[in-house]
Amino acid sequence: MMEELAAGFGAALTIYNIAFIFMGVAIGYLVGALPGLGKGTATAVAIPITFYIEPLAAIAFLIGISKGSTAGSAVSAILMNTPGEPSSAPTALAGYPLARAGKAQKALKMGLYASVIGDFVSTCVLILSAQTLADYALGIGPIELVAILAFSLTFIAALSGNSMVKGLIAGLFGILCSTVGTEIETSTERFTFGSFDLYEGLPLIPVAIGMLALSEMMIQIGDRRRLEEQTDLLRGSGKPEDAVVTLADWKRSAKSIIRGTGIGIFVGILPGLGASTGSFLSYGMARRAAEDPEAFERDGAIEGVAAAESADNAVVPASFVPLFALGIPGSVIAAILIGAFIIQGVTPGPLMFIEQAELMQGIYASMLAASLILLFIGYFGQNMFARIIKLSPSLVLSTVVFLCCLGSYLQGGGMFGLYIMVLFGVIGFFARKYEFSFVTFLIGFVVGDGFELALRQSIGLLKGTPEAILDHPVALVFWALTVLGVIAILRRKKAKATTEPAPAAAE
Amino acid sequence: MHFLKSLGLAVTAAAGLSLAAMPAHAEWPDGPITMLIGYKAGGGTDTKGRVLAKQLGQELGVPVKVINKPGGGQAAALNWFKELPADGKVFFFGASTGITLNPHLKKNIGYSKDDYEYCCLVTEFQPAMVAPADAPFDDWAGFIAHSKANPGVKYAALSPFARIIMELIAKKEGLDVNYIPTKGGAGMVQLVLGKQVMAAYSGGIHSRYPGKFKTLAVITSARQAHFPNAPTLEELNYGLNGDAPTVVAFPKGIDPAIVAKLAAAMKVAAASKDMANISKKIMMPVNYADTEAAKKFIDGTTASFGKMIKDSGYVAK
Repeated sequence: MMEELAAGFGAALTIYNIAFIFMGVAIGYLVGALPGLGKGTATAVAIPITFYIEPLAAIAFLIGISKGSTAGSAVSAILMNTPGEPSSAPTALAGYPLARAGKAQKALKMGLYASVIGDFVSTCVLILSAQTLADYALGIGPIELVAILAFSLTFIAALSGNSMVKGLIAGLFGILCSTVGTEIETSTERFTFGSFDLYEGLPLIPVAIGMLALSEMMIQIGDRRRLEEQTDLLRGSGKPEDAVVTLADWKRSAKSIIRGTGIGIFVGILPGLGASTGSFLSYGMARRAAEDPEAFERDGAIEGVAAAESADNAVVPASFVPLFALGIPGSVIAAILIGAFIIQGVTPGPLMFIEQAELMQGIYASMLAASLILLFIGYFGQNMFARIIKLSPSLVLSTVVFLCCLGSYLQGGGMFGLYIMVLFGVIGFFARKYEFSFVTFLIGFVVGDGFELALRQSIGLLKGTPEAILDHPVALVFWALTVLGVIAILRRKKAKATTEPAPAAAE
Repeated sequence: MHFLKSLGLAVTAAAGLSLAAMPAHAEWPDGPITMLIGYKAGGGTDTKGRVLAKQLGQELGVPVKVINKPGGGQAAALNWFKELPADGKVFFFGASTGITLNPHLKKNIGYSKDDYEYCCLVTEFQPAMVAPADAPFDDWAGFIAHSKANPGVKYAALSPFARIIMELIAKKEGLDVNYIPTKGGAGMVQLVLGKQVMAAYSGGIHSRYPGKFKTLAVITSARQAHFPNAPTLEELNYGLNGDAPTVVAFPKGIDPAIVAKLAAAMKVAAASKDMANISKKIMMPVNYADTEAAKKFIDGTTASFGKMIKDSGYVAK
């Protein structure tokens, strides 16, 4: 195994391949950092280019893009409150307040380090135990998935902001939006209004861009004075300790990073969950573990940034576990990569290790190299991006809006994607104004689809024998956690109600 | 503007020259042509289409672009396509079920087989009824016996058609089947390898997992080279098949000369080494059939699917 990997390193680390990995990570980091564009866009656009290069370089290039963009999306989340990808939404929650407090550099660096650690550890896990983990992941069937997804939904409460009712409304609206399209079992159309564009449901990227980026841009454009004040704040406090990650920060974040990496790997190897679920879960758990959870969104929290980013990046290599071992894509990016693999003459699945053993070792070596290159590019790239905040806001905002349109057009099937983006931009604008959490909306939207399918499958699988759920210990554990989570939420709410002075009844 | 015009002329002239160098043909294609694919980039049909487009470009001497218009199981693409002028600039490449089957399943689909002219068939899908490798039976008869002895046998259906075909079988055999819905081939593989179901409809993906599946019966009307021992559903006297080759089509009213020229070029492109390679990788054998055969196939299959859907009692939505 190790010898093969060493040979793979020899094959992978030619100047030619390194150049492509470097380019991939750099392009990925750039598109990730630009709101509106993301890894989906970048990889899809890059696939035709890979027709003309060698298989190993081509695949390494695409993997570089996906790793780079996953880390890059933290940049705009922290600097502009505009996540480059849905999975970086929690990063914005805890990171933007830090930037407003003049600690943008610190937050950016921690985001990068957490990303690289999550990515590197997850890559090692992939290399050492892809087959074992994949077999284990197969044991996680629909019944377990329903429990895990229900557990993720309890974090809606934690991420709701001030009002749990509003958070629930937003989350349920997200689930409602996820039901749009052709229903899977009988192909009944739901909320399609006769439009074929809606048959496959609302496209994730335009919805996310509208809710996350466009609505924020509308708010920022609408309030120029506040914006200029904030731009001043973002330029930094001038204190040197606010620009670096101190030992104290590492101590605060270590647990979050370890937990986040673990959650990211777990979520990644299970097909059907996705990077957003990973970062939401990790953020929610870090928040729950904190002494003062409310401070996360109020003052910002370095461990929140670390939690979201480590999980977000750990998902990417882990999602290649089911792809490489079983030919089943564990994430959007893995699904796009299947096409690229096939074009290069490699069919993802169990045969890949037999037919293309050398290539696989080369891919592994390239993935490890990409982790290190990511650290390098991220470190220097950040300095460049951090200068964005020195530019005039009108320049930045108009560019971002343009990029949002571009990304939605490319990923949402043309003009249709633009309409969806504008629609959800307007919904997001009012949601922000009236303090409905766009994050809980996204959880509902991202999780809803898989939850429905897994629930229907479970009902079928347990048909007539509900007691058979006792044969599914993993599901039972997650159901127990879900119940405990709900109890904790209710308790905290009650505690809060009693400690806060009751408002005078007749005022 | 003048510059652009003269540039345009120059390009046309150049194209004309290169064509003039070839043996005498009709003037089509006088510029780049477009292959329309009704699925997202990256899937099996798309991958195959792109390889085919590249070969076709070499054969015709003009670039062949690929555009993807996903939505509604090719319905978005087919509706857009039928309104295009019949000038040969755009042709459709996709699973024939979009035309032969889907109009039976959806009431307001907006098109029918009569909206298009058919050029040729290129490749075949290899659907089959499969079971996990450790299933307590080895063949179709064993599956039927097992299902009779164990009512509520779990069957993964990745599409309404996958369900309909099993419903027809169940009706004839008097089986009680528990249909578990799933999404796409990957979802089906997960359910089977995860030992959640006892049988499943596979679009052909199972042949990539040697030793993990048992192929009980094939759903094509002829036996499949990969599984010579698996009988067809027709041999098993169900009178059912799910033949779904990829078809090349134009909007109605196209000049037959263009159809003939594309069909000839397709025949060469389909026989290329690159196509043979990719077919082997994604297990979709090339099986070129000419314009006459394509027309006959579309008419015949549309009718037979119509009967199947009616027999199953499925109500178009």
